[in-house]
Amino acid sequence: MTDLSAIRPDRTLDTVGLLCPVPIIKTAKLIKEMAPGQVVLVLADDWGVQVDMPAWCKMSHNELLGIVEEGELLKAYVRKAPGDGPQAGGAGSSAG
Amino acid sequence: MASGDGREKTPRDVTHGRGLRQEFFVSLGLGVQGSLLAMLRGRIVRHMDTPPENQLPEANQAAAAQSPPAAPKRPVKAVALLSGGLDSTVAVKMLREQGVEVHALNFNTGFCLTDHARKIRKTDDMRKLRNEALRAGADLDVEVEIVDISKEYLEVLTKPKYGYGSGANPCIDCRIFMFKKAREHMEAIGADFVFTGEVLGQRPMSQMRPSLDLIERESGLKGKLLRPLSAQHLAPTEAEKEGLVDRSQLGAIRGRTRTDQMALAEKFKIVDYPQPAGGCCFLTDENYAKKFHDFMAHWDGKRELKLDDFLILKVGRHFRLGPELRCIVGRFEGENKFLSYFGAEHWLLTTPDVPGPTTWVDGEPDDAQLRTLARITVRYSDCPAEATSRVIALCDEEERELADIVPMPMREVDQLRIE
Repeated sequence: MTDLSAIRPDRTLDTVGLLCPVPIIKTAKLIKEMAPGQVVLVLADDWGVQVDMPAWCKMSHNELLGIVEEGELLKAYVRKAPGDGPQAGGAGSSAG
Repeated sequence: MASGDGREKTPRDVTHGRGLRQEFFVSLGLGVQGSLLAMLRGRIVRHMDTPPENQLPEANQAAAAQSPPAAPKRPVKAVALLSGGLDSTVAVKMLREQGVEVHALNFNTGFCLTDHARKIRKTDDMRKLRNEALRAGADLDVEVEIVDISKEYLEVLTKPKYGYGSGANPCIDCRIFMFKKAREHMEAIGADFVFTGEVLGQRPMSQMRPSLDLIERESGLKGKLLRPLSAQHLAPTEAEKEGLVDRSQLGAIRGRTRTDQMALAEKFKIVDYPQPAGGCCFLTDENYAKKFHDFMAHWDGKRELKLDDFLILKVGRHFRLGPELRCIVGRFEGENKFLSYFGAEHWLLTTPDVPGPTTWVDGEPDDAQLRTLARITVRYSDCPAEATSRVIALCDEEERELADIVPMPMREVDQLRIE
C-alpha cells in the first residue's frame, strides 16, 4: 500500500467548495497539462469524490494512489498514466 | 422521406397523430385504468408498432428494401451522450458490439438530482454517491468527457423557445442545446454521427416522434442522430444507410417500460446500473418548479440573472415576505452549508445558542422585516415554542445581534410559505 504521506505531488488542485462533478472536470483538465508519471493532489470536500475519482481513474487509465480523509477534507493522489495517456476525447472540459 | 422543412402528411401520419396524443396522455398516467382504455391503448400500441413496410414513408420503404450494406472498411467513430442510466449504457454497449469507436459526453447543467444529493448529504451508501456517467464509463471501458455547460444553460432555462414541461423543465430546448454541443464535438473529432439512449415514447415531452424529429432538426443533426434502442421505429440515419452500423442489430424498443433494456443489459452482461426512475433532473420536480416560477414571477426583468439564482432553489424551505423579499431556511446541516456558499451580499441568519437552521435572505429587509426573518429562523430551531432565542444576522462584514426572538407560530409561517 502506498504511503501517501511520503508523496510529494507535482501539482495541487484545490476544488474545495466546488460542486460535483466539477472536481473531476478540473482534475481531468489539469492532468492533460502534466507529464506522464507526475502526481496531482486534489483537495475536495465533495464526498462523492471518494467514488468518482476511482471511477474516473479507471476510465481514463490514470493511477489513483489513494484518498485520505482529514475531517471534512478529502485528499486524492493521482498519478498520470505513462506513455500517451488517455485517448483523445477523454479529458474533461468546461464549455462555459 | 420527410423534407428538410417538415414531415410530409400521409394518411398514416394523420392517424399516427391521434395515436400520439393518446400515447401522450397514457404516458402521463391519465385515464389508464379500465379495461376499455387498456384495450384502446393496446389497439393504439399495436397500431404504433413498427408498421409493415408498405405503410412506411416512401424513402423508408426504399431503405428497407435495400440489401444490407457491406461492412465499412474504415473505423467508425461516434459521439455518445452518456448519462450512465440504463438506456444510454445499453446504447453505448450496443454500438461497441458493432465495433464503433465511442467518444462519450456527459453534460453537467447543475440540476442533476444525484449530484445535488451527493453534495448535500453524506451517506455510507456509495451507490448513492457515485456519478453514474463515470461509473458507466469505467464499466464499459469508454472514456467519458464531462462537459460543464451550467453557465451557458441559463439562457435555455430562462428563455426556452419550446416552453416548459409540467415543471420548470425546458426539455426540448435542453436537448437541442446539448445535441448542438454534441454535434460540435462530432465535427471537431471527425466522428461520423451522434447517438443517444433515447427511446421513442418514453418521455412525454421530448421523446415523442414529433419532438424527436424537431430536436434532430434544430440541433443540426438531421440524418446524423442515431437512437439505437428505437432505431427500427425511426427513419434510417445516414450511418445505417451507409453501412456504418447494422440496422438489423439495432433495437425496436418503444414506450415507458424498461423490460427490453434490462434484457439487453443481461445479454451484454451489464450488471451495475441505477434503478430506472422517472426523472433525474431538478427541473422536472414539482416542488422545485413552484419555487422556480415564483422566483421568475417576481423577477424585475432588469437584474441580471445568474445560475446561482436557480441553483439555490434546490434546497430548503422557501418563504416570501414581499415582492422583493424572500428567504430560504435550511433543513439540515448539508443544506445550511449549501446556503452559506451563496452568502456573499446576502443576509444569513443563525441561532448561536441552540441548534438551528441557516436562513438565507434575498432582498434588503428593514429592521422589522429582519426580526420577522429571525422569528422564522427560530421557529425551525430547537428553541421551545414558549421560549425566546438570540439570532445573529450576518451580511458580509455587517453583523447584527437580535435578542429575545420569539418563534413564529406555524400558522403564520404557513402564510408566507412558497408553494
